[in-house]
Amino acid sequence: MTIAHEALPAGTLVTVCGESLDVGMIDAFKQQIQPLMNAGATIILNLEHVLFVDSSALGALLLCQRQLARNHGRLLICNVTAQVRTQFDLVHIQRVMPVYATVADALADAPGPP
Amino acid sequence: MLAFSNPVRAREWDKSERSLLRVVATLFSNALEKRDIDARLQQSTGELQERVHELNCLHMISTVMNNPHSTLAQMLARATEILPKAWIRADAVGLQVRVGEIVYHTPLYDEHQPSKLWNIRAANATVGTLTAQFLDDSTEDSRFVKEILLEDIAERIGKTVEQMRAMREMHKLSRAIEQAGESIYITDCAGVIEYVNPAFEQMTGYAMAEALGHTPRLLRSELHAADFYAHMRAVLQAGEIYRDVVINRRKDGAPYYQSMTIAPVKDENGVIAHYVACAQDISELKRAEEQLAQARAQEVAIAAKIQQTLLTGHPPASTRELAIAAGTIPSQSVDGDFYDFYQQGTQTLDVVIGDVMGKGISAALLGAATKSLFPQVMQELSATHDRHGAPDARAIVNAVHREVTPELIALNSFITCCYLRFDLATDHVLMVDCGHTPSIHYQAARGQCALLKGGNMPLGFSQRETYSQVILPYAAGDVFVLYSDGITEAQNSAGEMFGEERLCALVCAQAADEPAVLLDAITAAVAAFSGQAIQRDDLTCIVVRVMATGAQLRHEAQLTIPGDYDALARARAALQAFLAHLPAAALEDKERDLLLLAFQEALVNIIKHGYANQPAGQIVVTMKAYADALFLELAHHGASFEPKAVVSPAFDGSRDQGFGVFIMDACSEVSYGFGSQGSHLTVLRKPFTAFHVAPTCPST
Repeated sequence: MTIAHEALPAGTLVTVCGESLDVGMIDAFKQQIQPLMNAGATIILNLEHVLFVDSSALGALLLCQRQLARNHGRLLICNVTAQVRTQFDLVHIQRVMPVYATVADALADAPGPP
Repeated sequence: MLAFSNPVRAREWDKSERSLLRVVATLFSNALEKRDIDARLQQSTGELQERVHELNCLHMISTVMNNPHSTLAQMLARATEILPKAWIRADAVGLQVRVGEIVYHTPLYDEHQPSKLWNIRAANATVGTLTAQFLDDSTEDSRFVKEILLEDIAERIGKTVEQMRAMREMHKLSRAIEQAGESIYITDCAGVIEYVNPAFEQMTGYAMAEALGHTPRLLRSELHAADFYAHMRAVLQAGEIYRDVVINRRKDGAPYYQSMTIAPVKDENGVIAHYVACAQDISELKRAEEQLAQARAQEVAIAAKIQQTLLTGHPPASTRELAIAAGTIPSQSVDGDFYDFYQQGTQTLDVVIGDVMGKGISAALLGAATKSLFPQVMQELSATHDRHGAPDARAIVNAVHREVTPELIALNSFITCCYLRFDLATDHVLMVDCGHTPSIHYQAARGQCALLKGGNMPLGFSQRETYSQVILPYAAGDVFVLYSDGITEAQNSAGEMFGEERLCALVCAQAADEPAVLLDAITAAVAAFSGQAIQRDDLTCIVVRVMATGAQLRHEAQLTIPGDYDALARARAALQAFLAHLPAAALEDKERDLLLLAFQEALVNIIKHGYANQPAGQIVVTMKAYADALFLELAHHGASFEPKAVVSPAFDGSRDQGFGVFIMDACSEVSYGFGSQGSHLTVLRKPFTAFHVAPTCPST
């Protein structure tokens, strides 16, 4: 399994299980996260285990964010490792989606249950 | 002044007098036949008196008509007064003289009375009339004599009118010659000057009095060969018109150029009587021509000087590693070929060669300006970049591009160039090509030449262009040849080009020679190929021969992976293990992370584009660490990759393509080329933050 997910009052917490999120597993990632991206959904993506993301992962995150935003949802990223932070900085990902230090920070910023 | 003779008048009076004498003789003879001598004597006396009157009248009219100070009207008025004096009885005749608008008549002339009329003719045209009314009952003989007299006088008036008109024409012509801007002189058939006009006096400095009696030899400059004058003489003696530019000498000794026409003038028998020479001073024109020629020669001299001082740098002395020769054979006109060499420390040698579109001083100045920009931006980049050693070759070219491209676009020009860096610390060449003719890399190990091409546009094409580089290793015995298109596009008389193939063959054949020898061989071969054809372009050529490799390889590792995404984690692990050999100071953690990312992207590119996701292919990864940089060489046998064809990434998430190439470029120096076994080679180069100071310990 590439991701694990847990329903929270503020949204869905999605945790990437492996150490890397790259071209080899990105299709599985997209397939598994797709059912969670309902209209108005808030997805908190927990990357605490991830040490490496590549361009296909960055592209996938951008696509998810775009799809959610179109349906009044949000993608919140948290627990980013130093390695991944470097890779995020490269493509200025935080300009497009918020990146939080912890799950709690992300939850605090997430809208409450309707 | 021209002298005009007047032989007509003398002749005409002889004729009139002859006819009158004839009449007088007839009368005398008639008188002798008369029987009544007294009566006849009386009559003869009367007639003789008439003849005396007539002769007097003729004489007076002759005097009037010959008066050079009278106008035609004055002459006719006076003649009208005199004419009745030919009659003893002044009331015996009424007379009217009309020439054109001028009309005079005697008091008794009545235009309503019957009259007899004689036309006054000049130059075969009727110009007036002489009308007479005989008012007495004189005899028929007497009237006949008067009619002859009047006919003669009408003819005499006609001649005078004709002469006066001719005089007027001659006067006009003479004034034209006098006032002509051209120098005119007239000689007799022997060439002795008879007339010169004021322009002649001005042009030659000789007054008319000084020139008359001399031949035109007086003006000779002796600046022509002897046969020049012989030819002139031959043309004139053949009765033809001579035209040429003649250098003569003024009285003060100064030579002058004149455009001259000499025409022989023949008399009524067709014999040359005079020569008329007409000349225009063209010294100013000649001076302007000479100045122009001088200016052109000067431009060529300036061009050569520009080439020597502004456009071409001095190749550095040969070192243990590299031997260099460079040269340019300028064409007739100034060209914009330039080259230069830059050494920053002992670990790099940079060579730039460029060619400005177009010719002339403007191309040369553009070339000189662009060449001078390279050291300038290098200095600026060295001052700001945070690494040791020379600034990035791409950064140099991109900075020059930013400076020069707006100017080039404004001038509607462009520059092709090639920036080649020999990195002695790693035995690699970094090439940033800007649409220049491909450089030649003779690979000693294969005994073959490879053409080094980049995919970048020339400087001045587009402000949006970013310049990428090609990285490739070299070995001892390798030869690099950089050149301008003057070499490969040199044409023979059949219009065939020298071409890359001939050049490569020559380099292969003489790769073992000293660079200077190979350089001479190349220019000689191009010259021999062109033969008599005009050299249109500068022939610029640089030869760099690798004498020895100097790089000290600190670490090396190699692994082969299948072209499969599942192998990526293994490859990354191998790189991480390799990087672990490096001292901490060589690369910061962040740089290591980014290098890992670039490595991943390069491998993904090969799998995705090179092998089109087919698992059959392999990728050979060679990792090399030198003193100041590391190289990751990824060799594969899939399709080649064209990074310029990839779309730019969209950071707003609207598109998920293009990030890979962007990331590779951002994280390392990437190049795409050919490996030694004919494979495609993606090379990632990462300069170290600090010199790699760890002791050498090669590992595989």
